[in-house]
Amino acid sequence: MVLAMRVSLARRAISSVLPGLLIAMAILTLTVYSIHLLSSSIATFAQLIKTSRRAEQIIAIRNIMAYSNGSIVVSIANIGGSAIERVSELDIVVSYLDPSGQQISYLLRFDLQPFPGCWWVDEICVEGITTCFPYHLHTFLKPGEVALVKALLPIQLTPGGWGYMVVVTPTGYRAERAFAVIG
Amino acid sequence: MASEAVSTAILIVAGVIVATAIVSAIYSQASLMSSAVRIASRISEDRIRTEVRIVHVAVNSSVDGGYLLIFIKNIGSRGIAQEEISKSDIYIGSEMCSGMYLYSPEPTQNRWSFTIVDSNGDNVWSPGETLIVRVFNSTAIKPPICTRIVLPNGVGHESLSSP
Repeated sequence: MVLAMRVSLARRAISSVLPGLLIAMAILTLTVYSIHLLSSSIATFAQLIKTSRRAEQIIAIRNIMAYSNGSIVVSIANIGGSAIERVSELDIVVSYLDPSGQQISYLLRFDLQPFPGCWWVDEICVEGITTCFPYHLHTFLKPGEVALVKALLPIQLTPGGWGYMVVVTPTGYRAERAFAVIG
Repeated sequence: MASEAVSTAILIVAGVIVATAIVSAIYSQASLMSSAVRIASRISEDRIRTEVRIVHVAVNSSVDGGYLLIFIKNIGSRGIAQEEISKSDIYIGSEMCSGMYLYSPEPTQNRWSFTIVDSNGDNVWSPGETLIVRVFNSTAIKPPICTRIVLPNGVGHESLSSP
């Protein structure tokens, strides 16, 4: 008799607790799932903010000299707030207008050697101070530094002709300066 | 006694079935919602990570009778496949970007072709790399020349220059 009563009580307890337990488990699963979704969304959002907050790199062409043999000497200064990690990642475009009226543009390729159609870094100096570093020891361009760059066009230039050089940073900032060809 | 046991068993089974039904209904709705949010966020992420900038526009008048050269830099954080580039729209015009030019893999009149300055050799317009677009027979456009590129995901850039 006592055993039967205990069994009955146990059954009643199970029947009253089990649905609640199941519902609690379901709510817990959903909560965990929602937290997981929220955390992944926050991580994606943080990544996007990080991407969009890249520091702007600002450069200026301080001086440019173009010679009739196609060589160009240019000094490029970093006047921004963040370093250009690899100077070789700069894009250099030269547009040249011949006295005859013909116009031609070249996107020059970076190289360590002076080849036609290429540009290379002679040295990198600290602006205002007579301290310079050879490129192989200093491949970046910090704010306040100037890269002394040389380029060789694949064509001869005519004295009296003119053109302009455009230098573009990896983040898309551009500096432009005109030049006249000297003999 | 036996009827009480049966009714308890029925109640338990019913409770389990109802709980399972509720959980599966909520779960499927949550999955649907999450996949919709995931798709939307992927599209947004794709657009946010895509950024291009027209850095220079020039005219080449000495080769092949002349063409317009547009230098475009990928300043985003994702690579752009060649297929995406060929599906892009190029608009050019004098002062206003009014004329739309179509892509052609070969140099063709009133069409544009492209070359990727592919520094890492992966055949993709990677971040930091430059795309050279050649637009043929467009040198008659009087400066200032308006140039606009629009990628398939709607991201684009416009530039007004006097080459």
